[in-house]
Amino acid sequence: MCRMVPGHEHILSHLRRGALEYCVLALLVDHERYGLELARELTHQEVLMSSEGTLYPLLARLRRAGWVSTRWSESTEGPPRRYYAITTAGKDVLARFVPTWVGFRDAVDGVVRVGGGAA
Amino acid sequence: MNGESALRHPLVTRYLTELESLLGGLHPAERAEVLTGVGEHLEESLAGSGGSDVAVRSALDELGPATAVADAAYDGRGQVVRPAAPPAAPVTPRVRVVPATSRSWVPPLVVVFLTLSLFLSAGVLFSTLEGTGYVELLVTAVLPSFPFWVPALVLTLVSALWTGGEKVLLVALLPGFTVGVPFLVDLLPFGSDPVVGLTVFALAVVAAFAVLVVMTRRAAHRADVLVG
Repeated sequence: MCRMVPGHEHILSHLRRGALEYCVLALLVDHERYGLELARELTHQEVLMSSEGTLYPLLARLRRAGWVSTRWSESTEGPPRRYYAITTAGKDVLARFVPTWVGFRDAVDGVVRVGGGAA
Repeated sequence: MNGESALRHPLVTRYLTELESLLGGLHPAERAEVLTGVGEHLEESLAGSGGSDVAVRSALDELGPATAVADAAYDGRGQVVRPAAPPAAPVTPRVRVVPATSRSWVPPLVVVFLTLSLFLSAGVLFSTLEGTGYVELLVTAVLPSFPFWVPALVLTLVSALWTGGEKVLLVALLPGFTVGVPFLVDLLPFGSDPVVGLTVFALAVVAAFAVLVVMTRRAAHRADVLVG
């Protein structure tokens, strides 16, 4: 009998589920961005996101939650585009995420190191 | 090939159709929103690319498989039944909740009203005596077209189908035309020659309609993307 061992992508997808939404919000904190811009930034090192398309269901969820808003705007580089911006509620949520994440990340780091796994 | 026509490339159509089918288990509004976002992403990434097969394949590769996008959409939803079979024929996305001012009837209505306003103002322009000041001219020319111009303005300003700059252009169209034509005629040498006046007038009409057509097409495309 063989046993399924989760691969790298599988583990990564679980980890992303917890943090990716907040990463998107963090990218919008300083200024609004358009979809392609966000997608390229997030897939840059392929850790946060491996394919650009998965951004859009995420943005739809964030918009429905009231954490992101959208608007059309002219662009200097071509035709007008849809920009995504963080809302006040989104900023609140992000502000709560950051310390929670730091604590969680440190705790995991601490345990994993103690366990002798590669850190 | 610009971004808009890139969406009609067969590979893109196939991708979006497959994605739409995979998203069948979602609420229609949410499905449409995801499809819209992906469509706009492709428009943007293919703008200025020439629409070659290579460019389209590359853009779709970066987007990732439709199944991955669908997986992301179903994440955390538990027991949603997700369709497996590919669709028979392309179906355009439908959105339940689109604001009234972003519907597809808005651009044609605005263009008809602005056209009527331009006609009425043009009529006044023709019959106005020489020596009328610009301000007085503006008022007497724009006033008769108020019943059409004001609703067109309100709709334009409220609608999400035009950007801020485009709205400014549409608002300025009528006053610009009304004051611009006599101003140019006064400025030109031989301006009092009726032929010169008529030429300026005709050119202004063509320019105004060109602006209207471009603005309407842009807005109609955006309305299409929203409602399919």
